[in-house]
Amino acid sequence: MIYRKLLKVRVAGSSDKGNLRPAFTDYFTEKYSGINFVVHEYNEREGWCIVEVWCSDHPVLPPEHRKNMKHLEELAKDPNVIEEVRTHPLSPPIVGRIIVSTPNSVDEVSNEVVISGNRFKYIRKDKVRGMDVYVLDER
Amino acid sequence: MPDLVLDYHRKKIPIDHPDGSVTYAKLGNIPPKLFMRVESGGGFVYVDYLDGVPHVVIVLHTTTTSGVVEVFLPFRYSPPATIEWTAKLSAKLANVDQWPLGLEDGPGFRNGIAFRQRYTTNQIDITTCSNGTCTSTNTTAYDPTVKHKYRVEWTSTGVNYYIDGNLVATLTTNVPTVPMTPFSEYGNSSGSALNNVYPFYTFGGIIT
Repeated sequence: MIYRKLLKVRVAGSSDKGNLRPAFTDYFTEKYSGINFVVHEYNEREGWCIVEVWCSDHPVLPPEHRKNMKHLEELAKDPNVIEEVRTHPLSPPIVGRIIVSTPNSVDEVSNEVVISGNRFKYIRKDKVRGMDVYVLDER
Repeated sequence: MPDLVLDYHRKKIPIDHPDGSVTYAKLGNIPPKLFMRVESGGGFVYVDYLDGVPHVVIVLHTTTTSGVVEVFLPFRYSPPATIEWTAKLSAKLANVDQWPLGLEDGPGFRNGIAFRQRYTTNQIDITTCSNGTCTSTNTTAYDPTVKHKYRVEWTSTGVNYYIDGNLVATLTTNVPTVPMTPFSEYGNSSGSALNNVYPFYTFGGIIT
């Protein structure tokens, strides 16, 4: 399952210097490993941006990367988070997906893929560069 | 200038040349580090200036109704690495995808990092893949017919994706750690020829 949350976050850097970013970016990948984010809006003049953080607890992910709403709520307490936001017009219906691009095998009758010896149900097939890929988790 | 030595063939796809050879673009005005290799599913490339900067221009043949043309650096890189690329489509066309910047270790996108401009919308989706499992997310709309600068900051723990100097997304799951080759790709799956008139401008390289 995909979990998601909208946050208003302080910014660092500048667009002119080519490094405008949410202020937590510099430590994000180490401290919040397993959580991903998209930036929907910057207000550089006022020093904030709107970020949508998301994660998945799908078993295809390694255990240390399976995260849920509890982890997003911890992240919402980060000192660079100004506040939680309820909605944003650019928040997309699908914010993220977990996909298998090169399964070991596919069973199209049971809608299952096998990867690294494990069998997983897929939600739907998609095409990337003319190649079938299998969506395991999205929204 | 060093010889263009290729230690790595990314794909075996039909090559649209009379002698069956792969096209190797030796780009006269571009520094040696930015030599690019071109594999063609039916097109050609040349060098032209875009805002005073030399770019590779990819054009798909009149006979190409389905295929891709790719340029990529003839070297592999490992994290940490920062790669920056500019790209511009000349028109928004149905069933034409551009991949302004990506990295991969081989066919099938088993390990990879990419920006993809989808033909159906202006939306750019971004992806990381590690050992066949991928994370993908959608970003805000960007008009592909305007030149944009794409940058990835790739470390072993995550990938930061920038467009025009603004961070648009960070992915920390399915982050590849194997050596990979940067590429830029123009693909047509429309079933109709692009008639040589919709060039795709692309140029980039490694920063660190």
